[in-house]
Amino acid sequence: MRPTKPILLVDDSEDDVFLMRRALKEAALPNPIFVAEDGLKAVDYLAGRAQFSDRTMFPIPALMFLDLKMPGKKGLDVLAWLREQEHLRSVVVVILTSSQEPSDLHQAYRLGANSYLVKPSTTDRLRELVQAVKSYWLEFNLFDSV
Amino acid sequence: MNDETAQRERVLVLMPTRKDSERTIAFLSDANFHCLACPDLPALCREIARGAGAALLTEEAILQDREQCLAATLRQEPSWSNFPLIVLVHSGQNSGRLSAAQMLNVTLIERPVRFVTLRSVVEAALRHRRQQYQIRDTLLQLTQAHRELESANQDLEMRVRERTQKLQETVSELEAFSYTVSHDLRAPLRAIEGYARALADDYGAKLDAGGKVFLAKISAAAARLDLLVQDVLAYSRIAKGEIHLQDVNLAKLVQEAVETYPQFRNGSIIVKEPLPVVRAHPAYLIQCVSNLLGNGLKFARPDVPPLVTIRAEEDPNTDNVKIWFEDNGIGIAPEHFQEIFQIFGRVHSDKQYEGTGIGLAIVRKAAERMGGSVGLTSEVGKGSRFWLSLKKANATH
Repeated sequence: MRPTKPILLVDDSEDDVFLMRRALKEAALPNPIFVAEDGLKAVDYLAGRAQFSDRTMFPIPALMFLDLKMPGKKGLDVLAWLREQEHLRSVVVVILTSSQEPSDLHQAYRLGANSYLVKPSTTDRLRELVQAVKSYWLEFNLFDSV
Repeated sequence: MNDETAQRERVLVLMPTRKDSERTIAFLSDANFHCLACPDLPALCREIARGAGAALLTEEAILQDREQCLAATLRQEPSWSNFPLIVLVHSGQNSGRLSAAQMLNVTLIERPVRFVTLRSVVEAALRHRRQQYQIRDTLLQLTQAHRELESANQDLEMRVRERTQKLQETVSELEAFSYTVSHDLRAPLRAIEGYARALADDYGAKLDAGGKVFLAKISAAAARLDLLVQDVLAYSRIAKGEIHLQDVNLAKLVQEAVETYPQFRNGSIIVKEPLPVVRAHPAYLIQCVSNLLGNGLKFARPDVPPLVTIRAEEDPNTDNVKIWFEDNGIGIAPEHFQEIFQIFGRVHSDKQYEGTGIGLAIVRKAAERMGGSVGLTSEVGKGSRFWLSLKKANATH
């Protein structure tokens, strides 16, 4: 049986978090959803530090939606840190941002992002996006169980 | 007369005897020439180097010049100078003996000398010498003018460089600004659309028909603004992005555009093969093609189903190829031909034909960035023929 590891949503925008949570809920994902509202919190969660030190309550996520433009620690900083952690290398990183800047795309893939998605401007498109991520990354895709 | 002018009027005189010298100088002074007696050839050479009008000497003096002192002095004169020598020779035996001096500016006078001859020869020599000095002055002025021009050019180049740099800084600041604005504008737009949708989904049952219409209008307005922001983004991306031209198969690219955009798929686009391979930036070209196709289909006449034909026309005289997009729509009046390629250069109201007014500005900017151009011919009520001109792939660059 596939363990339902959580999904970590990293985004500083309350509105985007609200809309994303709704879309995830509508897609009826079995995975629990955790939110980190900035880069520092995301690293804390992934490292199992501070308020996230209990790994049974806050397990290593299967997938992380990562925003790029956040105050303080940026999304790309989180990604760079994550890819240096041997025990976290199976975490799927899906960049979810409003930036289409070629340099952001280039950096994200260079640092080891699995996918790069631009935040859709309508609810319908967001639902499609979540559905696509669900079926590809959480259903079809096989994970390295290490 | 200043010193230099006085000096260059001097007639240098070198005679075998003091008596000859005095007689000659007395005569020439009577004729208003300024003379200087030189005791020997080296002294004469020194005076030539200092600046003089002409030299009067005898054949023997030159023939005795074993060290070639005179020839060396004259060789060292600047290029404008051709110093006049007046040489007194013995009658009947002059021709071969002065051959080494023939390239020089020499006038031979046979002895015995008639003073009237001597006067006119000296006058002619000085006149010639004055012309040489005039040439020298003109050359000096030219050189000076050239130097000034060069330094003015350098100043100008520096100013152009400075201004270009400032302009580039301003442009990139503006681009960065428009990019940021476009980005930050889209976040609240997503929220507006998202919450309106959430409201309709969760509380729709509690709203009457009027309330639902308002919600739909909020969503539509957000969608329109989002389109606008996306187009501004696309424009600024094309305006500032790096560009690498490559060979692009136009037929493939058109097919790709038609497949990517659902509105192009209903059979209203006719592609007249063959389409050439062109030099282009694929992302920019697909933006051009989809915008031109989109326009062709959008501006349809109310009772005529829209139809767009794509064909290519190679110019045999240049490396260019024109890609035509011909529609059967409402057409455009000639006075709007320029305006429609400007940002927000809209001819129709938003109510008649939806759009942001940026699409053709994007096409123009993309075409320019690819070293091409765009234009049209059109007749109101009959349709428009847009063309996009690009370089052929096999063209030599």
